[in-house]
Amino acid sequence: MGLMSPVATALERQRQLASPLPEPYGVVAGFLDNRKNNADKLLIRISEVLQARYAFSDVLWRSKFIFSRPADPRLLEELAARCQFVVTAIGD
Amino acid sequence: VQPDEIVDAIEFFYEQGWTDGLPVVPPTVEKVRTMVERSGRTADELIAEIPPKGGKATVEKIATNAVMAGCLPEYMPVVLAALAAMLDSHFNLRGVLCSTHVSTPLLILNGPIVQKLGVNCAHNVFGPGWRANATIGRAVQLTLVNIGGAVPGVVDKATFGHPGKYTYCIAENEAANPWEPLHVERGFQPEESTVTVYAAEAPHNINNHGSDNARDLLTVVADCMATLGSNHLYLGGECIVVFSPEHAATIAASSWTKKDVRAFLYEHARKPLRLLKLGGMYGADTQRNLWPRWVDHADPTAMIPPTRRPEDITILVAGGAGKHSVFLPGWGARSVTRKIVA
Repeated sequence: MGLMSPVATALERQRQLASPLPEPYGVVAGFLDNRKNNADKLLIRISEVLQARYAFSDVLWRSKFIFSRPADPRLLEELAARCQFVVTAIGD
Repeated sequence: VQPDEIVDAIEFFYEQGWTDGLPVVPPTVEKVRTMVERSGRTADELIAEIPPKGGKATVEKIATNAVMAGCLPEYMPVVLAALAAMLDSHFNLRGVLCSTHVSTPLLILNGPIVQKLGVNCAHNVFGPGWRANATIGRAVQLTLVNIGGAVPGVVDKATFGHPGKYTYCIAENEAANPWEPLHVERGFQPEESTVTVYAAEAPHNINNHGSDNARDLLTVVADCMATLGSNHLYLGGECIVVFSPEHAATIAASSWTKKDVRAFLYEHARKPLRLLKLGGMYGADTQRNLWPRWVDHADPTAMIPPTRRPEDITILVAGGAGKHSVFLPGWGARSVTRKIVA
């Protein structure tokens, strides 16, 4: 009996991992709050730990409009253009 | 084909993790081809990239899942229209499939296709017993898992899940509807057929054998709609009330229109801000932009409505005899209606 497979492959995407960061002393850091409960608390604590260790030259704080939808592409472009790295997280 | 071959095929699909836990119809090449032909499209036509995995949903892949679900070939246009509707950004399919919340896509059919396919709209409308309801809903759910990748427990990490993740498909009882049916309200012609998709919790029963007028009846409905644990009081979105024919007749006998019903429910299905602050989803977002602008955030007695606007309360008529209606709380997104091109 010839049977068909019901599963599908994902569309190919141009994705690759960024190169590992060197020790990020004095760089511009970004923090993206997805607005889930406690995400801001978690990110603030992470930023404090990292700031104390690496003395960033600047820090960008941005928030998604709402946690259940993807971030605005313009927001991601801004973070990519201005930051050497970005931390995002949920705190549920 | 011998019976033991069929059983072997069913077991093979279990072993591959391609079922919903129930046996599936083995999707033979011939059956899938027939299903594709009935869609009026070509096998390799790409219908969508289905989240969360982004699987390529070609007509042939969808047809394979429809065969497995037990669909007849004539159901295929409904399955395709439902998937297309779910990919509208207002539905937020990725969010629905990846949420810990208990909602899942519900399909609501309107128009001549309801009779043509024998879709149940009356007694036991949310229950078993009708092939069209059972298999159209199941085909969509299998597609979301097998093509979209929303595998229960792996990618779909809903806290409780939902019995409707096996199948969740109803039709509106237009013959018993004293108002215009949903698809006409949304700009379609009565002779057109549509599918509406809505991320719904399970039906919450509203038992009301006592009210003989619209105001009393809807007061009971409103009370069932305003519960602290639902998403609506915090996030808004769209919610649905399904009136039974008897309840709809009682309301219509009071000369209340759908607009009147919405206005009343919007005004009365509320909870005070002081109670919302006890928990639920109360937080920065509810204080920011998800409530109507007129809400006084500093007033603990302010009454919070279940949606931002009365128009976000959708009204359906379905079910059989009996003095029950149901409330379908949602996830916080919106329903989407699409024409079925058969």
